[in-house]
Amino acid sequence: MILLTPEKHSALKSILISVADDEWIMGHRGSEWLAEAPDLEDDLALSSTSQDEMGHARLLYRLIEELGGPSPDHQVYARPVDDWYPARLVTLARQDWAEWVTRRYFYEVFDAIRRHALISIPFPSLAYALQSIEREEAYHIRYIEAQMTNLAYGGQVAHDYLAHGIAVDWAFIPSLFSWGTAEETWQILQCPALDPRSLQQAFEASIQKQFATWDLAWPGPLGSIDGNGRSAAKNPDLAQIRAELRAVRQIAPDSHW
Amino acid sequence: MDLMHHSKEEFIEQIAAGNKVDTGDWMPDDYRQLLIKQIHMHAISEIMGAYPEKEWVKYAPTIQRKLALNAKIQDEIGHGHMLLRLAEDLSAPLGRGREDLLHDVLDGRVKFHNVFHMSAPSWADAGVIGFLVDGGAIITQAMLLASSYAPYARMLKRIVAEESFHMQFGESVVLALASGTEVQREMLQQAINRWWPAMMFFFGPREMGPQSQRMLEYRIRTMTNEELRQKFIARYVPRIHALGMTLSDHELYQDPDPPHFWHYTDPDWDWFNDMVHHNTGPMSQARLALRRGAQEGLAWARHAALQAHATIDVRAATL
Amino acid sequence: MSLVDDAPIYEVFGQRDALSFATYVGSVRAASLELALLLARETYFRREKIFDMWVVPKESVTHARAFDATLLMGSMDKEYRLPSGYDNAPIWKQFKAQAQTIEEVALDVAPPARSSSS
Repeated sequence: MILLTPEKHSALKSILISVADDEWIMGHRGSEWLAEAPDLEDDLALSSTSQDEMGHARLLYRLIEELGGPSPDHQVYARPVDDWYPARLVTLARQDWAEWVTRRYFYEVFDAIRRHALISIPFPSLAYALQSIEREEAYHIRYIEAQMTNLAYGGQVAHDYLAHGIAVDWAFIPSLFSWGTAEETWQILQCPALDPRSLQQAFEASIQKQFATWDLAWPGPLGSIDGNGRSAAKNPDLAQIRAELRAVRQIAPDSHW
Repeated sequence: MDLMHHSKEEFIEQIAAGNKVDTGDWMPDDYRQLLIKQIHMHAISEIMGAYPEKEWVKYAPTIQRKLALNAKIQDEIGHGHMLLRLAEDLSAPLGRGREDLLHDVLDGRVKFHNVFHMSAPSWADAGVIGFLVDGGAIITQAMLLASSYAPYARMLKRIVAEESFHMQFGESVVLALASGTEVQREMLQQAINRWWPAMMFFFGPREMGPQSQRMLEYRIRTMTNEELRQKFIARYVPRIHALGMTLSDHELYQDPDPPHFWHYTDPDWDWFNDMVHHNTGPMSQARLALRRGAQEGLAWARHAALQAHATIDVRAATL
Repeated sequence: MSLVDDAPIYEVFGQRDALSFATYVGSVRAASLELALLLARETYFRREKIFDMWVVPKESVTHARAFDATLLMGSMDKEYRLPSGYDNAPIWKQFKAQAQTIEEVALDVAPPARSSSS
């Protein structure tokens, strides 16, 4: 294994925690739609997506454990709320179906860009994890783009729902690009692709191209990168999620369940 | 089955000889009606069965449990889907399709199992549903593997294989609680108390109605309600007792003499019947509201998918 | 330069018995659906008894491998949705009870043995 300097070691942990938290909460929020998707086949695909995201989170929490962090279950069930770093967008309380489609679409596009940036970090366990994650994500992006296509060309009602979903998410998209902890982590890791500005540029370019193929109106410039986008203190939904996660476990935190 | 034999008597003879009926084969009208009724209700019950467990996904106490519960609910929907496809094929000659069959539950035109009308107020309920409800459903479904309608029997082979994980999951949750703290054990005991009477109702009345009798003659099913219930009791009472849990049924005992019949207190037949027929159970309406949200509330999304593909085809053709 | 067009291709599926699923066995060229069925029988099933045969025009089949190969990539380990992901037997033993398997339940409710249905 390539030895990381203590400084890089800790920078890597702080980056991985944001990624893992995003994945975990996308899975958590996705589970809220179980048995409530438009059709039965959609429900099956949706549930696999949620399971995949939570599986990826577990894999990343395991990597953090390998770097000296606590166990995956500890991360989810015992970590203080201030040590969580999910983007504001992914934590948003449930809205309507179209918003869930747009949120997943924006998240998947961003997540792919972020994964490709992470590959350049010289840490073999991470590279290996990203490889297996990528296999599942290829399906996610393909599926969610098909859903977006359905809404974009599905007639006026669908189009209106879609526009509303995009409008709701648009304000929260800048929360994705910040790193939550110290913003210079990407510099410590000498990985310019992880610079929030690079992430945002790549994201905007990718989305702009897709919007054009779907004949969707561009909603205007994205807000500037939200330095507090991953701050627990600024996120009322995060405390709620954490309370849900812990509701049963805290009855007997150290017991088998 | 030989398509030339179009008399009902010959049909029954063929079935009695162990022959199977397939999609597209000739079948008496009442056979078709009984199949639709059985498979439609089975499919809808699988789908409605997702809701009580779903209530616990967000609170699942470990990562592993949360993933497994998600996967289990996904399977329930998957089973509902496979069964509904069969019911759709059977209903096609009657001019009814997926939208109709899914809508029926909202109008009370199709029932679902009593157990899915009940509330599941603790995590232990999520485990006990896997342990007892799936346990009971597995017994019923394993019996249906011998069904005379081949598409149903075939699909059930697949379903029963998948249920194997459900059974292991339910038992695993229950075993963890039984091995846990006093609070966890008490939680388990309360859940068992809640579910036992509902499970006694689950298999249906002691004396089967004329329709169920007819299903036996047609070998759509092969065992009576009481035979299934006896199998369930014999299998689960010793296991519940082994866990150090109790059953509050004071009439529960087994005849020492063959055929070793298990006696049990009758569930409140009227109360359960009313909830199944009129959706008056503690959670009937809340869960139907979720189903309505998907079926009626998101009809626009199903419509959009169809419309989008028509639009895209037209565009492609004009390019 | 050929004198006659090739006949269309039909994909052939065979179902061994009433309770098994149809399985792909190969393809035939035939001028019509009916001929495809007639030819499929002697091409693929001349030695065995078959419960049913399906023929499907080749162009009606969409192959994932050609359409989108990413669909065929395996998913990550999901041992939690396999029965083998659980080891309940030793815990049942601690409670002095026997673990049960679904195969055993199925046997328990299977109708008395008779010559297998065909």
